[in-house]
Amino acid sequence: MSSVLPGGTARWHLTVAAALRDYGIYFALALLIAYFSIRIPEFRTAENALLILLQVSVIGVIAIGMTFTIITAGIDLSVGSLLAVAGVMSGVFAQKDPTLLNMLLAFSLPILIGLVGGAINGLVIAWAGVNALIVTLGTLTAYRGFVVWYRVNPIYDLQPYYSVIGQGAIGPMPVPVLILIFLAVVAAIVLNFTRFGRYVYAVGGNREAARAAGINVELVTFAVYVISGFCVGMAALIFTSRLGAAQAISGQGFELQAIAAAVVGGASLFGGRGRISNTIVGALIMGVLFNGFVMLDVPAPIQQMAIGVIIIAAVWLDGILRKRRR
Amino acid sequence: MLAFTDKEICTRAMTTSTTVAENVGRREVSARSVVSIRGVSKSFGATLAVDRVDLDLHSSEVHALVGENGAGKSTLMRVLAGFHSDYSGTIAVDGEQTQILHPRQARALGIALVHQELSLLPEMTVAENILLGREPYGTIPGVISRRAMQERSRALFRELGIQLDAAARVDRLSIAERQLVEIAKGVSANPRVLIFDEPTSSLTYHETRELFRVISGLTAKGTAIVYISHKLDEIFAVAHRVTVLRDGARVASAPVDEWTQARLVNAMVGRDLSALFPRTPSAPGEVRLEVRNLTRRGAFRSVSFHVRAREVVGLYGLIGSGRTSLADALYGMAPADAGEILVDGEPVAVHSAARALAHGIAMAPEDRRARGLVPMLSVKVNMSLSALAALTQAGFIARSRELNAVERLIGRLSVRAASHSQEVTMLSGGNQQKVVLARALMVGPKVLILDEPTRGIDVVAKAEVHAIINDLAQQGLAVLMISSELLEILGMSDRVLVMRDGAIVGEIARAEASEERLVAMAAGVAAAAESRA
Amino acid sequence: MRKKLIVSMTVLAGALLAGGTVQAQEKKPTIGISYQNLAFPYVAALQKAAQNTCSALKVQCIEADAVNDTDKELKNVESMLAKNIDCLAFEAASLKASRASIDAAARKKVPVVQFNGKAEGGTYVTFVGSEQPDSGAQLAVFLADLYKKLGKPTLKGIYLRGVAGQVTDIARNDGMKNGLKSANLLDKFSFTEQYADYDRGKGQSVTESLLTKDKSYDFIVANNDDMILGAVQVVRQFKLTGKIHMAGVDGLPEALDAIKKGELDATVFQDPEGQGGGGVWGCYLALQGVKLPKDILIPFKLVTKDNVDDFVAIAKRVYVK
Repeated sequence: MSSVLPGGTARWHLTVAAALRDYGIYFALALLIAYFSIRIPEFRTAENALLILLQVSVIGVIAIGMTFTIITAGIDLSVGSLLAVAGVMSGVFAQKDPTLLNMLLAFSLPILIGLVGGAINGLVIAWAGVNALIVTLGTLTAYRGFVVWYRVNPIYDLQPYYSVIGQGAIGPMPVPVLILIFLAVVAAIVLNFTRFGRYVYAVGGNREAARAAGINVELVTFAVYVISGFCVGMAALIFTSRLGAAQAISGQGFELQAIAAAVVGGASLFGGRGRISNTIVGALIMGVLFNGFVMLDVPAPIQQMAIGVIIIAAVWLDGILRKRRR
Repeated sequence: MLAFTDKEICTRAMTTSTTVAENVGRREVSARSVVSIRGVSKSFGATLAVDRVDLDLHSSEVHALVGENGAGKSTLMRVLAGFHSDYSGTIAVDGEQTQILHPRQARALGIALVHQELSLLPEMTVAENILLGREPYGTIPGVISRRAMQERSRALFRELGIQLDAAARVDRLSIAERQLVEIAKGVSANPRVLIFDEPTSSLTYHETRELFRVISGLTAKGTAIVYISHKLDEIFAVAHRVTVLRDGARVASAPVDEWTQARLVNAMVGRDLSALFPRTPSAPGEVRLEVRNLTRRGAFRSVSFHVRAREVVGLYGLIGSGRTSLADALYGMAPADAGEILVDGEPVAVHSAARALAHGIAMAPEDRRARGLVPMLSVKVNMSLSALAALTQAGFIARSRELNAVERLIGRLSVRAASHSQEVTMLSGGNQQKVVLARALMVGPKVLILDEPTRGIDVVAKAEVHAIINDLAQQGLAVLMISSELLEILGMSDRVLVMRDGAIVGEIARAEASEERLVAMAAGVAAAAESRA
Repeated sequence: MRKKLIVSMTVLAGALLAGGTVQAQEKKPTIGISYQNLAFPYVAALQKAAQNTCSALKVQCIEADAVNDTDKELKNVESMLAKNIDCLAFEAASLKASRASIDAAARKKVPVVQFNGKAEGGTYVTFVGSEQPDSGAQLAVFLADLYKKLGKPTLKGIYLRGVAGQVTDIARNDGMKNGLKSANLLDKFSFTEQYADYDRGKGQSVTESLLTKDKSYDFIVANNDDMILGAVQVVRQFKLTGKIHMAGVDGLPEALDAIKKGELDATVFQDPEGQGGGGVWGCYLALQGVKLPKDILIPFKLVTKDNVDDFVAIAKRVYVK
């Protein structure tokens, strides 16, 4: 009896620990949703579910790119500023007459700017070998400075066609949500099933070992910042179109929200670990908190405290669960 | 968890009762010894790392503690040094029972541990590290005197015969020099019991001999030494008494004269190890790798040699002789400035590891943790990392092909892992090394460079890796093996190249190679007659 | 209460003419202007107004941006002082912690004219700006009118606040609540208050969540135009334009346009020309030896569909691009 039971208990403990470790964040999300659903009838509507998805779409898309950089033990602090640059440039053309050229530029320029901004980060980080935190802290300031210098006043009166990205919907699904889902699926496939994805994890897990394995570490590093820039470009398009205005001050603090989404989702700032699905859940947790708190009329300072505590608790819990496995 | 705790409590209760009885019977023995350990056990969760071990440490005696990785040597010594307060059993120092709960307490009792993992503060100077926590004050009360620290350190170095700059910052030192600082730090406390845990893993032959001299000086002063090592030749050179641990328990203890190498291995492993160096040379084939006048400024110059198919060429040299730089150049990690590399007679340009792999040159690098493995990833992902290009279609990894290749190598190298998806750091050192080997082999290389292929792995794994190297050579691979371990070089190589100061200074055929000749060549002296310390 | 002078540009101009006969001056004076943060459109408008005034008065102006950092502000001011400016027109980066810059100027005996925001402590010639509670009071005027117009017993609304704990936000809140209280209407209103950091995107998200819960709000007011413009976007998408009455503070060109379009009911106009131009005017007059009152107040004005055109002209002069 006593020899059977301990083994069984131990196994049961292990199973729960493993489930908590791998899916703890899903439980946390479910718990939050359950709590708000009980407290607020209007919370548990399809309309509100779609709204939450819509509200996390911008940060979610940025967080996808951020996950790539974090897995390589890097970081991209410039996302908020780059979003403002891409958004304002897009807005300049979205305001002009809807000629084919202007329309094309309004939609493609933010992506292009995102790619270029990401490439600048990537070049300096990968080949000049400057620390990612420093480089993107620099471009955070530089990109913001550029866009404020270029255009300090908001651009509004955007042409009606432009709202399709941020305000349109296919069936019940808002376009930004579809973009978020599409990008998340593609990113997850890239990370899990492609050679490049493997290289991203390897470079983050142990840069020197990756180099010794014959991986072009610099190219992989460069690529993740370009990916981050691309995601910022997409997010800028969604953001500007959704808001119906482009502003040089947009996107301040987005980097911290995106990093928080990835980290709450279990990505390690030391590299080598992170999953797109968990990052999205991390973003959703913060979106649900925001939406639920606003509906419950919780004052903003309390919201900020709660979100801060949840970030720390998530990372702390993650660390404990990981240690227990050893 | 609860269940384990219960079990642990039971074990504790049992060990305590037995040790009390034993202790009464052996009081005479412990009266002579400095430290007397009786029935000490220590478990980590479910695993019992040390299982009711008795050990006596006598003054003026070098007591070697041997066993495979995980046999409990380090854990036992960490208990003695106060790092694990939750042990059971008794420890008597000078016949007085004590409960050692904290490293500070152990130090106060005169027990010092020279760490295996380097634990120095890299930003501080050598002197500051050695006297950390015991800084001498100068003329102004309360202010640390830098000069006094350096003078004390220099005096210590003179006494130990170590050549080190007391004012140098630790992060400017080589690994070997840092190890010497660790040793000096341990000695500087004037301990009555000094524990060395694998002190020579990064020391050269000569530095090792120096250490032995230091140790004999210490024993002459009456210090009791514990010496943990994997290297059997060192054990026989330095120890007076050898105790073997296996699976946490003591299996044998006897004066060194009563041991032979075979008996020692037998006791460690629990069975006969047919051969530690199973090299069966066969007729070498055509030249696979040829190197002509390879030079990299500041590292090596005008290096020329060749390796044939089915041949294992050993590369011996002191640390800093340029061996690892040469390997890095051949593998494209740090390309050479001048000279030629030819594979199968064709000149190849290797600017990166990727190019080297494409030309059929693969390498298992020196430091597993730093350059060999990606810690958070699985056995499978680590193994296939270099070979992914061949296992990819349109960017996507062909999963079943990858899995086949991985499973084949797991079988061929008998990698002991729970599954291919197990995190690689959960494996033992020997199995981790096999994963590094597998990564190099999966690309199907013509030339395999092995840099310290068995450093820090236990004797069974060592024998296995040697057997693998032998197999690979017989299957037609050209193997270049770098090693600091003389027995390995002598036991596995068909030819030995000796490097000194960035140049190849000699080549010796297997039949003519001897320990003395290699050491003399590597050190650049005419002959070396090293006596036992 | 201290003696306060409420003036407009014309009054200031009049004051100049009164004492301005001393026009025959030897050399052009140099005025140093320190701004809080030019990344804010309103501050950029202040700058434009100040620059316009500089060229109109034919004085030389040197400008510096503190980027919301009092440390940088002090360095800016010190280097301007090193260039021998005759007067410092100063928009404090922090109302609490900008005293060091004012003191630095005082040590060099350079007169300081503060505009837009008044820092605590230090000696200065005059302050040209607005009383922030006054903007809240104008919102109260809007709400009181709305109460009369709708004829409901009580009104329910959303109040988008700025940054929690920030001085202007508190002043506008107090001004509005006190305005309603003195009109004996405070109990007729219920507010759902949320901070949205003066940010348009946040104003949008907060409004979305609140309207998803409850669409029966009568009004939305905000402590700046950016937040209310974010809310306008949501109200349009929820097809509630006209049902929910909305007002902000600032008088950004975009808000004025929205009023013309009928999407926004009102905004409270904060006069960048009076404030930014006033800073330069204040310096100019002080250098002419004109005795100025301690506070020159530029009033807030409630803009509705009826008077919006009067303000579009001013906005066009100072909000460039």
